[in-house]
Amino acid sequence: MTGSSDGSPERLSRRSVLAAGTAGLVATTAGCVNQFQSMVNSTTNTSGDSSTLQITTVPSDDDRQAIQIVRKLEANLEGLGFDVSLDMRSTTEFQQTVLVEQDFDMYVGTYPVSPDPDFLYEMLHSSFAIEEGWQNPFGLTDFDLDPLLTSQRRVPASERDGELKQLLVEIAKKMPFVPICIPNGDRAVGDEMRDSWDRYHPHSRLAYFGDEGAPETLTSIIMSSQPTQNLNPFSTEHRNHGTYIDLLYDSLATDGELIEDDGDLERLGTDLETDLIPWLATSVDVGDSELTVTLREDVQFHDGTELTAEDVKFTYEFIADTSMGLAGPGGEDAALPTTNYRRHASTVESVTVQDDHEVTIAFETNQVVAERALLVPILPKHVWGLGEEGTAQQGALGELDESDIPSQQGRWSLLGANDEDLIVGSGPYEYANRTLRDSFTLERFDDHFTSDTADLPEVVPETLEFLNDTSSASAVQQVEGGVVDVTTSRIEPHVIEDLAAGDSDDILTDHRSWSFYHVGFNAGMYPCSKPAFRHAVARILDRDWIVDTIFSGHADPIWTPVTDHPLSDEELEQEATEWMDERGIERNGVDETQPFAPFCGKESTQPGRVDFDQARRVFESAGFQYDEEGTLANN
Amino acid sequence: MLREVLTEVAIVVLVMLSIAIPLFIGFGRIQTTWSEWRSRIRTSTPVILLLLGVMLFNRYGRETLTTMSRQYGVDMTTVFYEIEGDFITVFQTYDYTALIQFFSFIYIYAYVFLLVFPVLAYFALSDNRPFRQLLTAYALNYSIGVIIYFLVIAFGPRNVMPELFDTVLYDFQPRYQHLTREVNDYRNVFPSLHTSMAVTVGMFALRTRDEYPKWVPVAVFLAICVPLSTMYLAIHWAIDVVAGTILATFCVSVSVLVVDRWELWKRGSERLPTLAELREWLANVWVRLRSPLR
Repeated sequence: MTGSSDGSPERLSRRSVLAAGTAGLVATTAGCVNQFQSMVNSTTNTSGDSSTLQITTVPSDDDRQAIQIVRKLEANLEGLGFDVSLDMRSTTEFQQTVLVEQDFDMYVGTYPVSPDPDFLYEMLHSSFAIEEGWQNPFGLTDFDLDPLLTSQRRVPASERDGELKQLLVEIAKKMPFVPICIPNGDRAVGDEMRDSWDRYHPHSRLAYFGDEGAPETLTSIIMSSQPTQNLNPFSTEHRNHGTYIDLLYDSLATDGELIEDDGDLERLGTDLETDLIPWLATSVDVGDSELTVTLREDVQFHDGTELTAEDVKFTYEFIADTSMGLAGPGGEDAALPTTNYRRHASTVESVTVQDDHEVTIAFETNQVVAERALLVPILPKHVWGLGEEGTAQQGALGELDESDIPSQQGRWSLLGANDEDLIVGSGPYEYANRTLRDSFTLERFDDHFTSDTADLPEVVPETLEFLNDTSSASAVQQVEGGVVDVTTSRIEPHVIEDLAAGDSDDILTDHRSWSFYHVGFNAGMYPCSKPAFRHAVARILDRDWIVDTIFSGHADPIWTPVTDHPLSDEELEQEATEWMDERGIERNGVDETQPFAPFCGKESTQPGRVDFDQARRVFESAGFQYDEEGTLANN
Repeated sequence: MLREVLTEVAIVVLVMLSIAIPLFIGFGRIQTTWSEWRSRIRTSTPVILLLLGVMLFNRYGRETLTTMSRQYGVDMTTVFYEIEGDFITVFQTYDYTALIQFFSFIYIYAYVFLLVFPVLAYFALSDNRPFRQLLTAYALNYSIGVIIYFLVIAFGPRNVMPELFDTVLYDFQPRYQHLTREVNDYRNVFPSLHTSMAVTVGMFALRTRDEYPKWVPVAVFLAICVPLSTMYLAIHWAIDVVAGTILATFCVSVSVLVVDRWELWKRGSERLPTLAELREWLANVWVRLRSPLR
């Protein structure tokens, strides 16, 4: 698949690749049967036995902490009479199983968060329950949460905090997932990139621009083979968090939350409510439920085609329905939204092209949430779309038959297509090549607008190489030895601990991580479908102990994934106290790290140890029965 | 990174061979081999081709098999973990840097040496049977191993209980992971091919003790250390090692049977054309191909 020619052979090859993708996906979605069953009959799990549970996670090579949380959870659940088995899968398989097939009881993993709490809408809203992808992986349908999830994105900014407070408390009570902690996001960085990486978070595309001291070839270590296998921005199994897509594609704005420049860079309009840096957009006019965006002129895609307002319009329509109206024949209201950027797709109501360089985006939400949609990567219409009527120009979608269009986006070959011809953006770097599982290389796009824009930094490195290495220890060694410049992936806690102990942690950066560890529950599987059961599970996990022991202290325990939440300590204490009294939870004070689900522990002399007598009572009040010997009755 | 590790392994193994060859094989045998190598290669051609085929398949076809394995195979990780729990942590009592270094050396360098040396040693014997038996056993080990890999998915102990081991090879020497990643997928630990190959060589060393008496203690020592190293370095479960040993026993018996009783490869090789015949045949084809053009 390397190399391409022009004319029909290229088309042929792309078509066959897409077709092959479909076949592969169909073959790997055997697990959907389970999902279907679970939707039809939500009171039985796979084995029909409520005391049998399977926990899905990735091996230690992929995530050293997740498996340890799983084993702690397994031991505690087995102590309570459950029959627990592990289901270990490589990261790609894990994402396939959890996000696409939804074939799991419980899982332990990470979920990307964004600076705005609206990510919760994508994560939990019922309307996404039957969709495949990052949206609502739990299949949760909770009609108490839905209005709160919606209202926080509808009410004016002044009222939003109030809605968010209610939402976060309600989530903590319903416990669709058990939030565990936000890991430390430290990266290793060599001297040449030190300044850039202090200023920009590695999730920002600007971090890879470098400054005067930056090397010609910037090498970075990633601890994942996923981007070496597939760089399709929408591939559910291969995308999770990471900046690669933002390097290849531009968006209308760049996130100011990810940079610390003391306002050196110009901001996008004073009327905006969030911190955005002008990117493809040079200015934004705020109207009544609409934003009018003026685009930079003379912006080109990597293939030389000009980026215009049509591409912007296409992008927002495409993420809302990747079949561009072809799904659901016979006028059915069916759409295939992407498996990521889902909340942005439902933010935008319509996009109107004013002229080649001006679009008006009408939105259904409040302005804060709407502004986040300006961060979506802008796609070239001529590469992805249906192609122009009556011309030879065919886009990827235009080459597919209607019969290729599935009913669910997870099986949509277009979104999984691993075709190098599709990797065309307008971003600061263009795709060069890759070695499966080992590395991939990007090259500076010399015609990028930042090369002659005074207000924005220029890209210094000519080449950007991402090398896959499976361990942080090796990554740190290579940065220390000057073999590579930075690590894109975060350094694992045990390695941070070793470096700190050896007093050689000055190669680490002080970054936060934009993801959180949690236990996810399949809301379509009994007993995980019961909030009381999920609550009981939350109470046998000691988040302080997990952070101290498994993360060597290099993480923050959390009760909600939103870190800068508006709840004051007093409000939190009051809400938690009310909740515990209502549920009859024995309490002495409010546990700061898990206020709504205090750990059923023995005395503080034995951190992490479950008091099984107490825990059994908790599970009993959740509807489980134990006989006199403490054995779980099979109900 | 991979290239550096590979070069290092090649150099170390070459040094080990340069000591072992004169010490165990001796110059007399090398001289005879020099004059007889053509006929020896000839008798062994079928088995050499078989082994090359298996190795090529292992290199390029295994990838596809591993991907399909999720569909058709059984995930045994949780079963192994429930059966043996943290049994192999017994080795953690002996957590000394010197020992980690020793077992890392065994797992990477000595293992490669252990597989390569007997191939040379048995080729140097005028009785060609051990050579053919050994290659047959290697090919069997690999093919059966790959089939079981396809049927059984299992992650190793270090991937399940990372915090219990202080002697994990890749924590100690992360660069080796670049090498092992090329040869194996972390989903495939059952059975331990390190064990089965090493034990195979050990068993052959015992069978050929009359020819190579001095090789026996070295081979047996390494054949015991390699399986130990896989457990000490938390790469394999004890179950994998037991399965590897059983696989080795099976492969050695079958290959002896195939070569001694059935003389399979020899009979096969008798049907092979000689070089002169091959040349004649090619010339014929050439003439026939050209004739219609005239």
